Amino acid sequence: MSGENVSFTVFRFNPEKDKEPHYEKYTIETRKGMTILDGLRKIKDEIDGSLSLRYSCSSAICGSCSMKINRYSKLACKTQIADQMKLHGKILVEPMANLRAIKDLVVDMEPFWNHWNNLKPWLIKDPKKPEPAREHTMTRDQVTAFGNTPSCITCAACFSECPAYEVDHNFPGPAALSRLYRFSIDPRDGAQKERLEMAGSIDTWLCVRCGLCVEACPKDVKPGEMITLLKEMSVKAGHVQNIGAHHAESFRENIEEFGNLNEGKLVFDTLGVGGALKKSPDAIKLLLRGKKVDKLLGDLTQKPIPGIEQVKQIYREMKKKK
Amino acid sequence: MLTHDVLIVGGGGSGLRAALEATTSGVDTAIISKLHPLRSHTVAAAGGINAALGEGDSWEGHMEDTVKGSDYLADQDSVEFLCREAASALIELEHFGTIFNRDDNGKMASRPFGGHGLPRAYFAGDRTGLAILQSNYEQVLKNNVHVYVEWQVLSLAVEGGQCTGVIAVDLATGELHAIRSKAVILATGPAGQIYAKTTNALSCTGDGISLAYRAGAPLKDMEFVQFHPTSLWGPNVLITEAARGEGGILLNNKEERFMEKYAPKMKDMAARDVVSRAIQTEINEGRGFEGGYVHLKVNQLGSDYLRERLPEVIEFSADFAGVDATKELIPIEPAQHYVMGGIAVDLDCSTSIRGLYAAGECTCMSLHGANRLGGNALLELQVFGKKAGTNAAEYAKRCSPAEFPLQTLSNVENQNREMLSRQDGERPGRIRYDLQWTMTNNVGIYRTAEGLNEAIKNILELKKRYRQVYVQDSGKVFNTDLTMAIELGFMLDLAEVIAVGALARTESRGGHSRTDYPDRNDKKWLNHTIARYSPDGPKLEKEDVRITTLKPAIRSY
Repeated sequence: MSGENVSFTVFRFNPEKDKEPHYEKYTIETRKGMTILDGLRKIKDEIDGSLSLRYSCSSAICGSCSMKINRYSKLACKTQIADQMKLHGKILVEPMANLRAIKDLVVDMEPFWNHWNNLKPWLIKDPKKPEPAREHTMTRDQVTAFGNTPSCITCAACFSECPAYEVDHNFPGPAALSRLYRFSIDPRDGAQKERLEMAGSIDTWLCVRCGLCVEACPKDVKPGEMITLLKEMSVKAGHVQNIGAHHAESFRENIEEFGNLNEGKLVFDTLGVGGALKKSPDAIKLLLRGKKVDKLLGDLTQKPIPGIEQVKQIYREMKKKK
Repeated sequence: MLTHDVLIVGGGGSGLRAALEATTSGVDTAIISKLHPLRSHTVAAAGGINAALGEGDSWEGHMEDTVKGSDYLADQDSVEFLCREAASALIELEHFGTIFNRDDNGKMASRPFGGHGLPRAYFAGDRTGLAILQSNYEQVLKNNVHVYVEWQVLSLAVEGGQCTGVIAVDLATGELHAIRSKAVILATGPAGQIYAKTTNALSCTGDGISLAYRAGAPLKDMEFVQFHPTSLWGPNVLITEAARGEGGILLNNKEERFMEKYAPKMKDMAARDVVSRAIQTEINEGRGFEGGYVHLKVNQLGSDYLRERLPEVIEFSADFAGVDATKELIPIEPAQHYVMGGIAVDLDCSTSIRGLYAAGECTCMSLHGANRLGGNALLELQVFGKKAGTNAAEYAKRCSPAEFPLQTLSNVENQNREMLSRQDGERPGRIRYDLQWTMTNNVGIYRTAEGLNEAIKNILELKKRYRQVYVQDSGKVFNTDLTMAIELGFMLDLAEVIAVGALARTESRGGHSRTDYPDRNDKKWLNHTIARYSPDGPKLEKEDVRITTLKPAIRSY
């Protein structure tokens, strides 16, 4: 595609002039191997110097240049123009979602950093353990257990994609939570109890395991999977008095006993009778739209599915493994 | 006015380490950085941090390798301090929480690095810089140090030979601020963007080096620029030296392991200047591939091993070159990587300006002499970041108060206004592009008087063009068009110092290789170059090299 002209449609917003954002189209001559970041810098250099964006390393390691490229949150420096043209037939560049655009592609990162900082992302020494004169010994398995969490470059691509944060800004977001996981399993850390308390009390359970963060992460941190591990650890540490743990427990109980889901019972188990009653306006709406009563209130006649023994066998095997 | 005891410009490894030290010694400390600290270029360091911790190793051995690597230009008292402090700096990092790779006994694992006699580079995969930057940042966060995030320093406030603060722009609002501080530490990193082919981040524009130079602090050994042997051909993304440390080899177009010829003993693991010259020679003499590259072969190490020790080599090769490094050969070429030169500082990290300290890659003290060994830069950040923090805090406690020269603020205001008022002219990008190619073509791995004269002529011409540079963005919020233009001014200053120094030094030593003067000349040139600002261009002087125990010898690998 050397020498080929490609059009970029770019989100523009200047708070000093514009009431509303708008889109502008720029056509540039591209060369082989050119990235979206190269393209945007060329636009800034040669066509419109007022275009603002963040960037630094251009090697996918500093996390500065995340933005939405053809609707997906990505690092501009790591995304090839040719690949995007092949996939989408166009280049649409917009700021990340879930964060306010300050100017053009520059977003206000403060909510992301606040959540990151709030979870105490630093090693906390165990006051009872004396510090070794040399390094702490750590097995290779202990190092491998961190997975890719230490490689997080805080680019916020996961944060931008996260529907849980979108509906509830108390959700710390995938990056912050995978960092909490990273410290929770650090054998040198003395605050595991406090960290798992945090995992149990904050809105960790708002994560619905949609996997968008896993897909968006440019460093394969798999934040969503780390959040699941964190939930597991917090439950094991006894933090079960929250709706997330209740929900998970009811889910398991139902499947293990009956082999299928009793949706209504799940609601009562998760929210409690009082909590469930508070949802009655929603229930009425659902009934009016044709939802069946037993799905809402729980099927009192629920019977195990044929072959339930096999399901139970699976659970027995899983318990043995743990 | 915003006021602090110690203000640190730059939030990379050395700036963060300095901040931690200053704040824990009880003075009011703040960091100011044009990037969020976690975006700093320390993040890109890959392969390791050195310390003589292994069996049979000693700080003396580390020092010997470093001095030899420097082609005997390093100041040996500085190197001794660095190597003596290395072990405790490394263990401190591990105690901060850095996750280093481990050996089978659970101890930190080390790997061989170019120019080192023993494996003494400790590492976190091939993301060691990221790991170290994060650990330092975590400590700063824990200690509640205030960070001016995305504030760019445009001038130092200096009067009567004393620095009392800075003038900075808050990028989010475009407002200029004067910040008073008893002591200022420059930790602004490198200037690689003056080259077209560089592994350096786009933010590495030499701001701090130029600020100090303009304020009257001399620069040292600026002609010594390091070219890393292995950057991806084309985008110049860094492929860590650890790839060779772990067993990777270089091959030319005849599939010959050519390093055997240039460095019979250490082969691919010779010092960087030696390997870069060898690659360039192969390419120049027609044994490279069309377009100018050679191959790096790592696939013999096996995919599992590569994934554990060199994940980024696999990822970068795939993302930026479309190559599967676990199976295929990686196309590589040398690219600018590091500046050995910088702001002249004493062993205590002080500059010639009272109250102005500096640490890290923006300085020259001189640890690396004519060529830096891999793994010593991350070490420098920890050791001398800490030292700068200690000394600046100590100075802040005892210094006598001085007036803040408010004139500096209006000077910067006027300069910016003038730049913004132009309705037409040349865009900064065009001038930057010409500068970068002038430097890569004429002030690169191999240099000649002819090429250097050409470069100086071009740079002076570019400086003239720069006076009419046209900033298109007239707004205040995130006006990076304006800051890019200002950064270009910094780069032009430094390019001139580098080229003038390179022309003056009629010898070949370390990273400075003159084809018209191919030999090292200790009689005439076993000294540092000191460059001082003058309106007519840099004024050069010589300064003695501090030699303590290691006599200059023939350098072969």
